[in-house]
Amino acid sequence: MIWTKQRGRANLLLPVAVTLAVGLIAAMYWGRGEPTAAQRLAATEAEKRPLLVIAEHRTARLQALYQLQPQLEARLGIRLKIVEYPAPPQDYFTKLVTELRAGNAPDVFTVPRDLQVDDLAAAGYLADLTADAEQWSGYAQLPELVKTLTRASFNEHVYVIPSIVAVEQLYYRHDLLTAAGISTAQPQNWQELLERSREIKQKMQQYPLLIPAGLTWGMGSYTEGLRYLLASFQHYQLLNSQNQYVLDDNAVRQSFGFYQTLVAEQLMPVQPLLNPEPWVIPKYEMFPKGQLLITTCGSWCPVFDWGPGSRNPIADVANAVRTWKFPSADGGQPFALASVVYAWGVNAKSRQQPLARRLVLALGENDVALAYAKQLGNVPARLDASQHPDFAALGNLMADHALLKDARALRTTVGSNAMMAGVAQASEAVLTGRADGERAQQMLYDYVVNVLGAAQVETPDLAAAERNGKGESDD
Amino acid sequence: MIKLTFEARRQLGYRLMMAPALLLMAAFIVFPAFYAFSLSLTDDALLGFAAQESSFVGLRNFERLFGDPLFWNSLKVTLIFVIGSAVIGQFLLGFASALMLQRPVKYKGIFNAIICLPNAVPEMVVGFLWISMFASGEYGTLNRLVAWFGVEPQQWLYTFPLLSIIIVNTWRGIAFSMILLTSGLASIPKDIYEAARVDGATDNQIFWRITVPMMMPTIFLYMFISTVTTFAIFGLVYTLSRGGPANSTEILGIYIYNQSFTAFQLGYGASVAVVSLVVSMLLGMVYVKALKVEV
Repeated sequence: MIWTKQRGRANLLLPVAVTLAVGLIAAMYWGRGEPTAAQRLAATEAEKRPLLVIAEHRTARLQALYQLQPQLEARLGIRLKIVEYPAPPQDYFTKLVTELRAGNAPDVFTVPRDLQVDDLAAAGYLADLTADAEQWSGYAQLPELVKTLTRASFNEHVYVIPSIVAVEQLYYRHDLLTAAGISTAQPQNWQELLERSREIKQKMQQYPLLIPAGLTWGMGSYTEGLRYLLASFQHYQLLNSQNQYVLDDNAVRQSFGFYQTLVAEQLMPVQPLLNPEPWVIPKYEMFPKGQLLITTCGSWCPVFDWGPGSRNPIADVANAVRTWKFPSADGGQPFALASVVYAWGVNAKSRQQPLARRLVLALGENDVALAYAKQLGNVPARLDASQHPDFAALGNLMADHALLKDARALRTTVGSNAMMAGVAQASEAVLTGRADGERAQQMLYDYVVNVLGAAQVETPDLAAAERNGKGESDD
Repeated sequence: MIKLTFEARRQLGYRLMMAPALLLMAAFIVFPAFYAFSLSLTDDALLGFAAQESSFVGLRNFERLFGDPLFWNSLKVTLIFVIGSAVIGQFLLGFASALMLQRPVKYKGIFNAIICLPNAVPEMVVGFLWISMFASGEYGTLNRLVAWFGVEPQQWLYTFPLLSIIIVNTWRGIAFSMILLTSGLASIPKDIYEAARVDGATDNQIFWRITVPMMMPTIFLYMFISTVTTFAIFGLVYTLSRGGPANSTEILGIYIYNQSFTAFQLGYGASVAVVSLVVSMLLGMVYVKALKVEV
């Protein structure tokens, strides 16, 4: 081996660096000092408590849970291991579902949206919480709509304990519409909303309205888009009495037709909806800049999407952005939508069933719900939250909480993922001009029949028979 | 006790030596392929009642698949992606690099390193790196570059989605192509070139009549490997575009993922995977047949 000066220096440097590093680590370790007897005892006592693994994701939710952790551990006499999951909802759900299938999921986790409860329960992943809920004082405090959304439609058993609810409406730029001399009065029906949109387009030369659609928006094309339109029909329900999806219905055709009008008259920005992250440009850029004036959104939007901490904050967002209820399609009253979001579920295969059940009930208490609601811009699910001393800290969200009693929702059943995938495809066809409202409805119907099988979708004949039946009884 | 001949013992020795590799292939390639095929005949799902108890549905998934325009779109996008990036982009640039680096070049090591660097970066990191390059708005790297020429900021991944992912995959794969083709070039005996020059052949004639024909086995080997591996790409495109906009970059890998882990239909996803495997095998067979070229 040839010993050069450089190689010799390198050979010496490495052992010196390693020795220094080891020394530093050892010094840091010994520098901490020995724990006292009391500390050792406390640590041993804590070690003896049973351990529950809980899944949580997104910074705001994690912050809330970390804050609540000591209180929950002390209240239930447990240790909580918080496992941080991926932030994007779809990535979180995919990871959770694959772990549930593999049998190595956490003891307690959240179900992002109520319409996923049926699918998870049918797969046998969720523990049945009916008995626990019935004995829990908080359950009586939930609005009927929220109670319904915690139950699986196929057996009416309770599978999740709600903590917070998203209240969803139309959010509009009050500051800009007022400045442009355009009415900010509540539109009562679709026609008024369309006329207001046309006026905005004409006077302000900007896109008036966004109702999410398309493939890349994923399940949001239904939850943040078509659902609003379908719910605006007073008598329409997504499920019939036999728990089948009702997709061959005028309400569905007209809802896709509404999209068609928005696209044809360029009342809605279409191109950004075809992007990989379609919400970024319209919601986070165009709306704050005033290039989009009205959008569907939830109570979290003024906090996260346009609040002071967001990427493009809107100055004085509380006054600049205001809400309209969603207008009716058929002469009914305008309404707000409610969704049970991030309700707590217990892994059916958890080895700590009794404790996990106690934990989800504790997570449904008002103090926990208020801590989460404040962090996330949602409202507590329970009506008695308004009597809690911390309720006033919700600020503007208090008004959204008051809407819970009269809010609407569309119940779904097993196969909601397929239904939402069908909505995404059909609405994309409208966006790209490949289908009109009628064709899009047929695409949705065909897709869902194809994926779920004909038994899970109401056939046109049955629909007609049900309509006739209703008509006769109405008479 | 059975007495084995020398030849039989030697054959047995070969088989024993191959056994571990065969076992691994059986466990990680053959078994999953058969499992995927069996899954494709069921309505298995990650959600709903089928997750608890799936049932045999025969060829219903395949029937649905062949009637699904999104599948055909995905197959078309995959073929364009493979031809654009592996067969044309990587091959042409890799071959050109290999030829250039055959000549005496100053700082050859630096050029080699520059070309090989993209291959050393993990797939997902490459994706994020190019997201930054293609980012819309005035802060995107590419937009800053084109701004020097007075071009308005573009949404590259929206306006040229398929071309964008082809460029990225070409960039990433040049190194492999160059290394393999360089080895092919090195294997051509030098005396053939010398003889050609003595006979008065021009550079052009030497390239087309000697280099290319002598390189054919290597070229087909490269085409075989790159086609099959590009066919199976997932992470790079998923990071860059997730298959969008409007399914324009939804290659088969992403389509399979979306069906299996976004729509949670394992049976249907498996049927797409089976078709993808069959297409890959057919392409592979074509190349294997072509590899028997005679020079």
